[in-house]
Amino acid sequence: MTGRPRRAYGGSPRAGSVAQAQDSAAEVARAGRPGSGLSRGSDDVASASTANPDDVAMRDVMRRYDQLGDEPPRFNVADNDAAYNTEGAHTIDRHGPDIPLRRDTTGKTIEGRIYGDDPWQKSATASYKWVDPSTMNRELNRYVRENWTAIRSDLAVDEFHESTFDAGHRVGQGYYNKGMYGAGPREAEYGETSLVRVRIKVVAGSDPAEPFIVSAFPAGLG
Amino acid sequence: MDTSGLPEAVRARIAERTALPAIDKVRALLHGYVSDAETLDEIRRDLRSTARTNTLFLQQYLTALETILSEPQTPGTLLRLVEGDGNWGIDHDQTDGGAAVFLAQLAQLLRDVIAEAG
Repeated sequence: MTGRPRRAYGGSPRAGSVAQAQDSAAEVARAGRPGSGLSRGSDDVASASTANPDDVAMRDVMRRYDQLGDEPPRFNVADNDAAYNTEGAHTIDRHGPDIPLRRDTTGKTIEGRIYGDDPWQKSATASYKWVDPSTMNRELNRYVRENWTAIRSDLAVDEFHESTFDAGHRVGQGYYNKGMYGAGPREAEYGETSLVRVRIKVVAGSDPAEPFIVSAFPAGLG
Repeated sequence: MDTSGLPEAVRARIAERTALPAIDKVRALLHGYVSDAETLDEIRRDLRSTARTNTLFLQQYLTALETILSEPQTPGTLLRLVEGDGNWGIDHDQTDGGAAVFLAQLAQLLRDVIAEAG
């Protein structure tokens, strides 16, 4: 199955008006940690410029933005997963090219995730793995390089970025549930895909801000 | 508040994401926090991690979820959100009603982590 084109967040931005952006920026500070709870009323916005927690939140956004820098980082997924396993990095563990494709209930397989076979903990609608390590690293780094402006902004605001993009060629193989959407009993169907989903975070409490890949994987469904 | 120090790129990005329709915000939530998760605990952990930094977009996701759940949707929409975008099997009740139960559970998770961070 080849994915249909998707708009990555970083492409063709639909920026709003300046006023809208300024309102949103105020929201960032109001919603930022530490301080400013959601119980804040609109009256509090007017005094936000003197509210120390808001200033701290804005400074943290700026600090992360500055520290992340103009130059996009480069990732090696295997090294990333080894270094940030305790932070939740799991591309190789769930989508690595070496995971066996076909269902075998004696071990972890890509097809087995459709059924929730042990060690998977639930059934999934789609389960795909990278075709090879070089494709995995090349496509991930290409995405990061071409969308760094959006990624950097997201990481500055709340330390999280996600997007789905179309690599334009086969990057993954796996299975989807042919019985999805109530079409019938659960049944894994083989497919190939060009879609990739990426999730990037900043290590909690890192200063300077340290980005890592939570997971980057072929997504059978857009 | 003086926001002049906030880079234009950040302001434009916030405006872009804020302007998305509710359905696209729900899809972003599902893609980002649900589609590769194995358990609800994993979803909660990731949401909590973001909430500790900034709740701006999580609050928008919650509002979008509440909108989607409270307004009439084209038949199949909720089911596609959960099974497709969320990659979450609900074989026990493959209906919009079954999907609404899962999405309501997700909304409560969001309320909880936002309240914790507040």
